[in-house]
Amino acid sequence: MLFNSPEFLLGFLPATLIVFFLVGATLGPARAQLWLVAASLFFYGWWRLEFLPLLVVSICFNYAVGRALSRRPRRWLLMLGIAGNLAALGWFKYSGFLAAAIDELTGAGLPIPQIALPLAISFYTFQQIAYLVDANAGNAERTSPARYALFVVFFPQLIAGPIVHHRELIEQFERPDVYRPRTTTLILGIAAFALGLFKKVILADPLGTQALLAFGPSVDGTAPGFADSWYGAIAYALQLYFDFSGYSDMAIGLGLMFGIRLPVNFASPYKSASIVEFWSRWHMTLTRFLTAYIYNPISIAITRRRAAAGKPLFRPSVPKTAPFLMQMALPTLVTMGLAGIWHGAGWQFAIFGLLHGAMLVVNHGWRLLRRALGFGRPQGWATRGLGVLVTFLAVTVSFVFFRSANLDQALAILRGMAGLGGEVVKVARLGAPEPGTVGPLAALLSRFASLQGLVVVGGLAVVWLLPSAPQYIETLSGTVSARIGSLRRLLRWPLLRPRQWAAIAYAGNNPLQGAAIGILLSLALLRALSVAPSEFLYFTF
Amino acid sequence: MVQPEIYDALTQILREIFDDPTLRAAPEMSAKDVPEWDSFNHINIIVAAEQRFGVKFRTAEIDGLRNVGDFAELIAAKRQAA
Repeated sequence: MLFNSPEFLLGFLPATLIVFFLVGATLGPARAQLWLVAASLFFYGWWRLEFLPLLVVSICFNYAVGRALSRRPRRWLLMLGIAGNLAALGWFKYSGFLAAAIDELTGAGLPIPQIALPLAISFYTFQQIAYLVDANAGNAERTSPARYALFVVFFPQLIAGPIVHHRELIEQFERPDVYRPRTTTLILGIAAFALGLFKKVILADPLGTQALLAFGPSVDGTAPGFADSWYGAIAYALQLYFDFSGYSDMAIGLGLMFGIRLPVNFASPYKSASIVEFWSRWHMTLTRFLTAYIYNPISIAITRRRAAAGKPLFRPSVPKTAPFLMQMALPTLVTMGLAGIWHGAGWQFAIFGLLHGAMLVVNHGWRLLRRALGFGRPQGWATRGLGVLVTFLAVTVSFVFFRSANLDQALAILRGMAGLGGEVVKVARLGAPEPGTVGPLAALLSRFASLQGLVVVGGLAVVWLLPSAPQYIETLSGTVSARIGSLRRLLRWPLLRPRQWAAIAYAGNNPLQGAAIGILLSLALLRALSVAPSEFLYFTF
Repeated sequence: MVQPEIYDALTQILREIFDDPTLRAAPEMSAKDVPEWDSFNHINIIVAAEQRFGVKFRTAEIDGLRNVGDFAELIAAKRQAA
């Protein structure tokens, strides 16, 4: 079931929520947890029932191994557990790709397995491997099977994150007040969900159509023109952001309706003035996991080995090439390369990851060089603005790989972006009697200035000028609880004194905010309920 | 119990890595207080401390650290266990 589908919005969500609180109030938290597990499995099975057994087996397997590990840490058992997870992931996600790659290399005419990718497998595998690692380190508390299952299947975060840490979710389900409906979190949840739904159906989906200008004609490897390449690539960078951050906002909103706080996944990433900053604001829960479970272990192992061999450790004040390459560049490239193929089996994803790894290394190297040359940290809005623009364009180029069906398509679009693509663009300009031939830059500008281009320009304005949705919801929480408080006081209206009336009036200081979110929600709902719901981009990972 | 010598040794490590003789390790100090304290230098500090105190940290232990005070307590606990 998609968050933007009528059956979810009008059936599953209200029913699950109401029964959850009813069961919580009458039969207690343990039963409410079971209900939520059952509802989440139903939510998952709605797509393709055949993937459900794998999910259930994965949960049982990891729960059993994790329990044994937290009773007594054993390295071989941890390795077995991780291997089991990776084997399932490898079989379902990478076997087709590997067979094709080996076949191409050797020309052996191997049969290439056609295996359907089980929904969410990358996400739930990743979360559970982290759980096993923590269990073996004595860092995972023992919990009930229902709470463990909830950590994996809680439907707001099951399909595409935010990638949660077992502790942060299990602890929350242990709190009794989660099982009572609370007006503040319910309202904030609806607000966050509204913003996310708006991002998805009003911004991301139309942007996807604009992205086709670059990604449509290049499927067969033909390079599009300069204007279409850049315009389409920028539209896609915006689409991906609104689609995925919209999904994350909806997930956070749904979590809040159940009184559960899910971690923030995006913090206005396109406002970043460097690639290093970008990864601290884009898909933050993935960055957090990559750092903790891949980058840190690799980097620590290398640094320990160098230290044991008596080699000098890296010092930012006296940067040396060898320690920089070994301690920083190598772990970064490995981590980001793995992050790339975590997204999908294909060379384009590997390149995407390695490209980001390389950009991160250059970024860190540049910082050191700047310092060694005696320049301070750059300041001023002009430098920052330049940084934001360069970062955005670099990220846009990297997402060309991310979106492309294969390497050929990505390279075709890059050729187009370099001005090597096909013909000179013909555009019908407003007021011009007939299509005329214009230069590539004028053609690009005319794309943005067209009626369809409005959503791209609007999207850029949103990512650069507005606060991020979770940030906004956070500021709203004070207002909402103040207003609920004053509504409660209003019930005792015969007893109120003038000063208290004034306080109530003041608590409603900005009724426009509520109205604005209401309008966004209505627009988004009208749209969501009138068109066939489109899938989220991250559901294919 | 965290011995003062742990903080002295950490001070020395921080000064050497960041080349800043004014740095002083204190319980409530954290990565936010030093602009160059990123994930990369974090590892350097950890490994330098491992060497200095002859202990070894697990990845999960490192992830749970909030500030220098947590780190000093972890070192003290490790030394006692050793």
